[in-house]
Amino acid sequence: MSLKVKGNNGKIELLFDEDISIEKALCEIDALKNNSFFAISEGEIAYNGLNLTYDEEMALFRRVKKIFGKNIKFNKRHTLSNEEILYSLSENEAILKVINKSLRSGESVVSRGDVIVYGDVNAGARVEADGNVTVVGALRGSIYIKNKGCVYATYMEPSQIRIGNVISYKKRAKKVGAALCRAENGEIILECL
Amino acid sequence: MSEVIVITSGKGGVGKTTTTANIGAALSLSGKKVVMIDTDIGLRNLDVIMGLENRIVYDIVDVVENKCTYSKAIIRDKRFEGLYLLPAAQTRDKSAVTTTQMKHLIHKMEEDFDYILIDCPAGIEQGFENAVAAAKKAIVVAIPEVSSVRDADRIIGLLEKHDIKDIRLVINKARPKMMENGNMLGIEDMLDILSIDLLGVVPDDEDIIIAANKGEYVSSLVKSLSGQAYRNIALRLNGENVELLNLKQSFWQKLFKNKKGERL
Repeated sequence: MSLKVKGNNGKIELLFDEDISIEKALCEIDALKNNSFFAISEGEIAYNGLNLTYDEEMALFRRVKKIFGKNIKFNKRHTLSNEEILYSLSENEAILKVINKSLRSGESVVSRGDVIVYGDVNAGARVEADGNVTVVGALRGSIYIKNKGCVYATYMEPSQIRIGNVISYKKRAKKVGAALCRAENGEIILECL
Repeated sequence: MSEVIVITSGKGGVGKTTTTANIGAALSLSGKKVVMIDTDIGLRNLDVIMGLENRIVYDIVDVVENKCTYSKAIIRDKRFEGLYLLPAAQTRDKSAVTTTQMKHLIHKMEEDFDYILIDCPAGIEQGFENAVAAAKKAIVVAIPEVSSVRDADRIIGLLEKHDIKDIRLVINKARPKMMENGNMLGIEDMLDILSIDLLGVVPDDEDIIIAANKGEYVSSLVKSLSGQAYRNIALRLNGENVELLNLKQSFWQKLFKNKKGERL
């Protein structure tokens, strides 16, 4: 198969092999018509992987309209990066990201959901999350939580914690053992456990 | 086959070059054939610290541009058996050498030496990439200051990305009294943050500055504490198990410090 079909956030994405010809690509699209799984009448289809001239692109466009109906939007897309896919997820699809190493200075992790780090988060490292952040190790770096959530670390010595609009930072972090940080009434509250 | 070790720190001024020179000298004292490569093109210093600046004819850029063979460019230090330097160019910049050229060069040198020590420039740009390209092991030099530890942490992350797994730490300019009083980051604190193996601790010692200014090595000074520290580092690199040096000198040790500078 030189064509892969991928569902992506309410869209259907057609991924062609880069080296196939336009004729072969059109045949592959024709073949989809016989497959009841792709019997859609409206929505959006994007394609990826082919290098086409304008005429060839229009031919492909017309063929897709002919097979799937006039309500189909068809456009070219670049391959999605992991981060784009992450952010195209809806609110309910929050996921857990597990990091199995220490984050050193300069490294950063972005997640749409919760994050667990099995290791240290060193000064200069950054974790951005939408949910809770758990550090099984020493937390010396910065944590940004977009809306709601709390931060747990077995050794709490953060340089900055930001939850929503609330920012906490100390001039020089004091060494605390296992602790939980959460935002309450516009303040970051640190609970030693 | 030789061991290719890059000596790096991220931050400038922590003593990468001095450490390279002294570890190299200490290794050659233990009977190894060592070459040190200065990759700090445009700001070369290793030759000055080794006292070989007047003997440079060809440099690393001449070698990678095939103007001469590397055996013609390396300078032998006559005071030691089997200690060589491949100097950097002073009139060019870091972009004069590429990572592939560096790999090729070190691959050629590997058969002739037991140790290849690469002196890395400060920073994380092209110079760092060149120095790291062919290295299989790394020594990270850090001083007990927050900024140095932060940069060392970043460098360790970058070294791990370059697939260098054997990374060891040399703590330089340690002041045992300040560490004891809690005015300086302790050895334990640094190991806690950086979480890599400790290769050695070198005290903040006047001997190092005096020797470097004269173009000599502290590692061949018999009664110097820092010299002993460098010799121990060399032994550990050779796979021997040596205990950490007690950095606190007693009154009598200070009194009977060899002023004449007896050398090995």
